[in-house]
Amino acid sequence: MKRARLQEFEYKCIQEEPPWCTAACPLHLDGRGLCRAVGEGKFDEGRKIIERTLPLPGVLGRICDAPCRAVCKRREAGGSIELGGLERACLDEGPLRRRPLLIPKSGSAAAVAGCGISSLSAASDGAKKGYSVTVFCRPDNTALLTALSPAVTEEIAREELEWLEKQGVRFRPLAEMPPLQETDSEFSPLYVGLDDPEAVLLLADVKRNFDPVSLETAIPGVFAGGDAPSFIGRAADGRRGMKSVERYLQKASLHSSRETEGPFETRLYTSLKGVLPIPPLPLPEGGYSPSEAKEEARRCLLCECRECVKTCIYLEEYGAYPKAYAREIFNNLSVVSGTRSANRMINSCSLCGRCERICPNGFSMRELITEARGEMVAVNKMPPSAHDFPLEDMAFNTSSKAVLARHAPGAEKSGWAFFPGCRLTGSSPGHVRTLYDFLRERLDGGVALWMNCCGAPARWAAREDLFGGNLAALREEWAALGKPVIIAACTSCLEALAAEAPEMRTVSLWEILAGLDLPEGVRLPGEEMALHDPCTSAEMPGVQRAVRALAGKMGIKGEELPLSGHLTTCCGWGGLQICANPPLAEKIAAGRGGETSRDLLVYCAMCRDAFARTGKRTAHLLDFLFPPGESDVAAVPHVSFSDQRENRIGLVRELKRTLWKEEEIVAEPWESVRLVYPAGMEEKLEERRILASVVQRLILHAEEGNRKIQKPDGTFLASLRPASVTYWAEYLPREDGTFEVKNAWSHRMAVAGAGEGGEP
Amino acid sequence: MKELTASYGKYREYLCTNCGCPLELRKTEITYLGSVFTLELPSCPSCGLTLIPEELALGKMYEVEQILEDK
Repeated sequence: MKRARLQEFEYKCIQEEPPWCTAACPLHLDGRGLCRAVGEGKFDEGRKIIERTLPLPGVLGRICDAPCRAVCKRREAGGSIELGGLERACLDEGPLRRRPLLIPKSGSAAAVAGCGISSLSAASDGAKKGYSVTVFCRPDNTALLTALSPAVTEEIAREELEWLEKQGVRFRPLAEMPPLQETDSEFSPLYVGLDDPEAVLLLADVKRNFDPVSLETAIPGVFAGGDAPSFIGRAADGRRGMKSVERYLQKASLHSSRETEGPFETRLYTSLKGVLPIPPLPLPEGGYSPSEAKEEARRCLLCECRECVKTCIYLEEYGAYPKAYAREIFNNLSVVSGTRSANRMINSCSLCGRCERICPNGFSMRELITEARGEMVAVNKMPPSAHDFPLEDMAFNTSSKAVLARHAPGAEKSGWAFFPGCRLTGSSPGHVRTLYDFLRERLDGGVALWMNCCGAPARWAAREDLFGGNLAALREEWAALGKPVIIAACTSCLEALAAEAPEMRTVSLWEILAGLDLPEGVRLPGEEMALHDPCTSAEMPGVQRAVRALAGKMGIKGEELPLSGHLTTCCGWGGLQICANPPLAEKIAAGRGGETSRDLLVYCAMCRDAFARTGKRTAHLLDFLFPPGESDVAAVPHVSFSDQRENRIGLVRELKRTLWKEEEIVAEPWESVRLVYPAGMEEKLEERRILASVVQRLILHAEEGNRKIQKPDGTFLASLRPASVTYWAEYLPREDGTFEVKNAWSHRMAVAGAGEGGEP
Repeated sequence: MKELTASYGKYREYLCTNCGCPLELRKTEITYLGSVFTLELPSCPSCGLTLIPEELALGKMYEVEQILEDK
């Protein structure tokens, strides 16, 4: 990833933008931090923030006129935070640290004229820059400070001046100041504070059209400001003037990149959803007591965005927000030698796209993650364990055992092709057959059956090579079928085909079904259910409307989840999350299921399995449209990976035999290995992603070649390495010819003498 | 991994069914993503058939696989 690309991503996420108060403050005081500290009773933390940001903190913190109140987000919910009162409460609660400056002298000198808050702020900033600062002013140099407010006592003002003197700021009478025109004098450059009438007189003969950005007067190197009514504004002029002095000394531009020096508009977004209005605590004449300050500070919204994180368990899981993730991913991709610690994070996104639809700026994790995965694949740094299982599954689903493309029996052309997709075929093969019969009966023009994989797993794994190869094969099959309109049951198939092969016309099964009369025997759920839209339908409003229309026609009442329709989320299958990070996928599915106490109604086979896997009662819309034998369809457990594969093979064979009268395909020899499992073993194999067919092949290989190890208790251990994973099984042959599978495990490392290659 | 293999004594009672030999701890080469290790593993002294016990496959071996995948 190029740095410019990272910056594009970074710019879109506004979480790190300053809150309104900080952006509007001429000195950019961290009002949010101050409120957080005071709200927790940490007044010393509050003072640290004040001391870090404000010049003359003891004075300014007591008289701040808080221009932030005009923009405070809280003003829309009760009233702005009394930040000025909170600053003062911090200062009243204890002394400032007054640490001496540990800054080496720069060797440069700067002069300041006047002793108002503006001049002294400039002097303070000059000292912090390491300059030898001389302030020319009247002898009673605290007079203008104490005149600002009764809150600034002689003692407070004196303390500020003493600190400045300790930092090397010298005070000299105005009369000793050299003439302004002598720009190369030892007291140049100069800042003139216009809040000191005596200093103003110095500029009596100078034209009053000062440059608003640099505050430079008609005399080069002489800057002037501080005549604003706002105290904090005057101090900010002093700061701006001293920055100009710095640039002047460095012979740098007086104008460039100064847009955010003064108040500016923040790009931050903070939602007020669910925020109850609370009015401000009236600020007493003598200031807040500590407990009052705490109470007022707690009204602060601690403004931030995090809109996407609030609704995404994945984004929350890694403890940050998209901008930080973009940097982390950029660094991960830039690692030459060392640990790529963000790999798992990159592979755990479901690519559902909800964040980009929620973000006020449209930040897309999907885009970021897809690019990152693509780069990892390109440089051969994609961890093999992340996607091997689904890619192997895709290889199977596109093999001759699972693929079928036929015109309707007896037909030679097709206007339509029913494309059920891998998951529905695996999870609910009966529905595929029923649907195909139904569509043939109801649609004119001929309906072909096309069982294949759309390539979504390869696309999610950023394997362009595999996706492209598969798509080429799909195009050929489609052309051979006479380029029919594809009726896709799965929105992931629809999404992949529409994005990558728009010439292949597709329509959602749901849109077709919504336009047809209902089949006989439609069943109704016992109770109202909650409808979950699959994530890949989020940008398919037509499909979502069709599902609702169909359900309505059937008489099914569905509760809408708070975030549904275009804001729906993933069940954990998308983006191969379930393969790269199974615990997170389960957490996400459980989180979605937990949003309602009702049973879930879904129209995606992946969603159905993912929710059922977490124990959430979930039914597929097809379970009501074409009811199967079970009466409580929401209680049916998820279908294991092994069974899905069996189901696909079984369906292809059944359809070939019954519809197209094709001869029975010769079964593979390993299919004759009959397995039995003790309680819990099938679940263990499912969790370890070990397919029954692999165990069958392993046992056949071991038994035929006598390549096995016998344990003292008589059970056998054997292994097989079909591709890049070595599988082990512990089994016992039984008298009835079956094999009891007692255990199974796998590893990816290749070991000499273990895991001989099986058939591919 | 050495501490782990020390507990492999029990596998000496396991037999290679083809050769009839009890397994012995033998130095065995393991490779993953270009890295090569040598480890003492229970193997048949005659034909070299090697056992990767469950606790190794799902324990230390898995950890090392994950580390190598992130390199």
